[in-house]
Amino acid sequence: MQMFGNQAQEKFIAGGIMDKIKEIDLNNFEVKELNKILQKRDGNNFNHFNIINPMGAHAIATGLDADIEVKIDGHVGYYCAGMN
Amino acid sequence: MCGIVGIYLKNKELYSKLGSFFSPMLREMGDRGPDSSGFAIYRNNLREKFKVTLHNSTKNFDWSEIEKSILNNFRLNIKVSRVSSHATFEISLKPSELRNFFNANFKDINITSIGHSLEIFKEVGMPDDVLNQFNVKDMSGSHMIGHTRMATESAVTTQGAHPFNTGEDLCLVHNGSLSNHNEYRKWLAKEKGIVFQTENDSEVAAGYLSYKMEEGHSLEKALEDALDDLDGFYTFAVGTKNGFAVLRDRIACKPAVIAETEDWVGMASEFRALSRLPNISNADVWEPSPGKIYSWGDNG
Repeated sequence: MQMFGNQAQEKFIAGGIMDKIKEIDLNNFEVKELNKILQKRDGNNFNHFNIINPMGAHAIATGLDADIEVKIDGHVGYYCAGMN
Repeated sequence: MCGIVGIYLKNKELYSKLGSFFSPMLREMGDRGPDSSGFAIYRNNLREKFKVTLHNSTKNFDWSEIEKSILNNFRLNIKVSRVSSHATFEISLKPSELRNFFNANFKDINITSIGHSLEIFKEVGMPDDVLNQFNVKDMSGSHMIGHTRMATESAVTTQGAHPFNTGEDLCLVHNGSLSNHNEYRKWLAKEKGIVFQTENDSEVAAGYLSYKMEEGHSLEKALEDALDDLDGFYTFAVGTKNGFAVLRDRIACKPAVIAETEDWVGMASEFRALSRLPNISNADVWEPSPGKIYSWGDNG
């Protein structure tokens, strides 16, 4: 498996369903790369993404077509979560 | 659309880092205004003398002709610093005398600013080019204001680029568009002797604030009056010798974000321009309210 973020973890949430979480640091990626990872759910390996250092960038988490959870820690710019 | 940014340092120990804080702010706003970029810096307050910053686009322009002309006309000591297409003359003449002298004798010279501490540099082009051309990252000072322009109502020229200075030490950048600027330009020029160099609406806003402050009002009062007198939509960032202010019109359709820590105040059209400021994660960050004046420092 290709590792994009510096952290990937698995945690159990209520009900015992496995929630696979990946953290992605936008200091290390362009927004286009991030959105590609989210759109492909990183090869179907994850359904929950935490994005850190969004730096107010435009168009974070746009064009998603699957039911995944994306948490963004910080400020975002225009078009965030657009066309989903 | 245009991009505006401003940074005002509250902590004097950071003055040497002003340019390095400001550069990424302006660079980030390049895609909001790719046709011209400019900045105002407040530094080295001369107290007795004025700095007049001039622009001429001719390559290797001979500024010594201007130096000689000033010496012949006024018999005054002057100091000249050249940076790229601009030159700053330090001279003990009043702003009105300086404006009249340059406008009468040097038609191909554009006055970008006059003040005890204000200097304005601006060019056609993307912010990266302007930042490199004037080596902004190494600049020291107390506050800076910048603009990236996407022209809407007057020509893409260096003269039409922001910031605009009209009176002494006052400068303004503007994102938006005014609708009654032609009336005010005529009135301010005829009745109040304000000299305008362009057809630009934002220059009229700068002229309006200069006129109010020359009448003895504080910047805050001048901005309060501007809310009633200037029609249109705008976010303004304004610098004075020792102060900084932000104002949005009462509808506030033009974006603005302010961030503040114990050490500095930053404003920008979008948060991303503030995202590299030191300690931004602990700053108070808010969207300025419509029609509310925000000001820091001493605004007269």
